Amino acid sequence: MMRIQLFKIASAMVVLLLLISCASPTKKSLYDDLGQYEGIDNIIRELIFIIAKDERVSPRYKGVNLQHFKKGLSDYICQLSGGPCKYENENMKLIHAGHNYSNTEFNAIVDDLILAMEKRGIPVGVQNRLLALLAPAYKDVVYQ
Amino acid sequence: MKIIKILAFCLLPSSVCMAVSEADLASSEAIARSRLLVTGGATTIEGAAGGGIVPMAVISGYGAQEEWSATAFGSYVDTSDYQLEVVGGSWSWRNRLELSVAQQKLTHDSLTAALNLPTDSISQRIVSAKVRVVGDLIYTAAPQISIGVQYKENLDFLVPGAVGAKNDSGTDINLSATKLFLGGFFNRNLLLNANLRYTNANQTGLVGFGGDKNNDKEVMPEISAGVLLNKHWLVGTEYRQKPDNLSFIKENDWQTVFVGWFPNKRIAVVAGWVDLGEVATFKDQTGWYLSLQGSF
Ligand code: HEM
Repeated sequence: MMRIQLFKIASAMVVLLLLISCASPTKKSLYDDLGQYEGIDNIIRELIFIIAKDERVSPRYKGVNLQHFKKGLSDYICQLSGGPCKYENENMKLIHAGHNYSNTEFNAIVDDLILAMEKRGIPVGVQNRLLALLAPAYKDVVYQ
Repeated sequence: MKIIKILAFCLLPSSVCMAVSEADLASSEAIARSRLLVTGGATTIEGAAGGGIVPMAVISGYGAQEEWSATAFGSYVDTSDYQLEVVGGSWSWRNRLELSVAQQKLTHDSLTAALNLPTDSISQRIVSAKVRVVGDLIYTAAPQISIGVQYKENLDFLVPGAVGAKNDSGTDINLSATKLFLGGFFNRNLLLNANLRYTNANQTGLVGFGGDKNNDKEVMPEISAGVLLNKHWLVGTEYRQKPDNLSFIKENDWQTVFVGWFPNKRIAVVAGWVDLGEVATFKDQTGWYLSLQGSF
């Protein structure tokens, strides 16, 4: 009896999840789903505002040319998400090495990026796809 | 004058209450704990971070590797013939070490009536330590792996002893592996967890440790899986294999289906449905589960 009840609940859950995910088309490229270059650029502008107010990481950006940073990060994400960009400094290790960025700072940046994407109205599924592409950078950014 | 609205979350009858101001609820930045929402998990009925009945490799709270964190929790399970109340808390350090305590009280009125027992409840205290050995839940390709030790002390051994349990205390060892797959389930984040428990506890230790049928510790697999609908809502399910050490009373595997709500890094609420099978002669112990966790 109970096994049947559990089975029903589990099936209902699966169906619900399928409906939720099918409602958002996944065939388009991530670049398009992010709103192409303009969309990405807007997310990064938002991110910079959020970083500026985030005391965990803002000191790290003292003296950084933020226009350059914005363009660099936007180009990088554009290329990563399948857009028509060519980002030159692909090596995350080279960019971040020598600063010993911490695990706390990495989490803070991801936290801030999620906030920025939420502010720009990026759907959860699209957010997750971008985060999945960025997460592997961890080993090149943290404690280097 | 500014009136600060306080929302109180109460869990009855254990009367665990938590006051959270609306400002806390509105802001996920209320505390400087940097790991992402949900990555501290909820608190299991044995005090370790995880789901409801299966621990995970995650370290409690939201402290990253340069931070510390703490949690307090209260949980309540109600099945046809039993009620379990648990309160406890944890302290965690640098996303490396988790220390926790849990005090459980099982009320067994039906059993008391059936066997004309002099007592109607059994309490147990659990002190646990968990260490993250390697990996990060999200940022490494390999899963996060932790080892945990749980020292359990049954404080009312009269009934457990009478039904054949050999010891009033015992130690469980847990080896857990947990991974969050970003976008892993139709673009929703997928949480997968497996735990191997080395134990001879009867009904987590509430019915003592070891027994006439088997007194040795065995390895029990436990698994859980969940999907994050968004960063605040986790739906999941757990399965926990159990020992069966006593010939007088049969013990079944446990399972749950749950929904977790993580409005911010301060609080988490988990509600679930549990199937505990047969518990001390009472069959089909299904019911509900509610847990409240505060993180600091
Ligand atoms: C997923 C993680 C991260 C990614 C993908 C990432 C990506 C990038 C990229 C592409 C640039 C170069 C922009 C340019 O061309 O000018 C950059 C620069 C920078 N990143 Fe990161 N980053 C990450 C994490 C972090 C963390 C955790 C910190 C520490 C707070 C950090 C601090 C910086 C700073 C300060 C710069 C500017 C360097 C300069 O121009 O002097 N990044 N990042």
